[in-house]
Amino acid sequence: MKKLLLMLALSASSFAFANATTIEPVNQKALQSFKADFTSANDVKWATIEKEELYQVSFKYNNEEIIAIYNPEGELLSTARYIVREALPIMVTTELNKQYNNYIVRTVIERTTNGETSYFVTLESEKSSLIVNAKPSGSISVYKKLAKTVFEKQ
Amino acid sequence: MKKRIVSAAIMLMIITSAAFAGDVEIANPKVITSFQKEFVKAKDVQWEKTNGLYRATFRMNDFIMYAVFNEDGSLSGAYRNLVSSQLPIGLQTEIKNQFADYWITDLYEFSNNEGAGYYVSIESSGQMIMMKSTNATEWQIVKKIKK
Repeated sequence: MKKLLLMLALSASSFAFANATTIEPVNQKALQSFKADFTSANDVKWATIEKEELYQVSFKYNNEEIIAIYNPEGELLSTARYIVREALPIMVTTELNKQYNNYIVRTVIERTTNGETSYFVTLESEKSSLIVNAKPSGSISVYKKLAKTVFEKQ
Repeated sequence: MKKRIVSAAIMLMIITSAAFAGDVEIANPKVITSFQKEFVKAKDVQWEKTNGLYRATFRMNDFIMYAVFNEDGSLSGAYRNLVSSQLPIGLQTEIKNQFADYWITDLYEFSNNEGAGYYVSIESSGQMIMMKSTNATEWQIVKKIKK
């Protein structure tokens, strides 16, 4: 479930994961870039996203699970990882407190795509659950409304 | 570049505790109202004042934060110290990969009318570098000082 949410965050940047296929070895340019970008990564698993001609790599870095997307030229296009809510930017935290005061924060995903970082925050109240997308400036929009039963089944 | 250095200097002055007088009772209702509106879950609030600026030190969501207000109640800026693992992943890897011989001496997140971002000071045996990021993905060097 947790990895699915990470993929959901990345898929919001228009990458499709339905056709991801595990591969080994991976494209050399992507591999070299990955090794330079995340020097201490372990538990590395590569997959291709055939429809997009992209490479998806999931790994652990500083004990955190991260998913990254590279193109065939070895450019890092996107990353997603879980973070603790305390790591949310100041203005995101203050806006969540103001706008969603009756909700508790379930999970937070940090996503970086095209040089921009945003946050997918799963919120839950007694009556509803939703995922909001927040910019570091504190601008927040509803990304997805969830059926309450999603969390009750976890 | 000059503007960035000035901004960095102002932020450093603001976060320096010595710049503020000791605890004060805040009688400015505009500041109080603005603070309560902006930081609705703030706890353990302490106020200091200097040169017409009010600084609140408080706890919010289990971390210590600082917010600076003007006399008219407008929020001048907010900031907090961070540990490197709280940085966005791109900023973490850039420091680790490009400044492997440096150690972090100061790191904080800010939010003011220029936007939101991060400041970091790193040092090696030979120099100190101050960097700023406003896009949460890459650092810009603000200042280099040789030791």
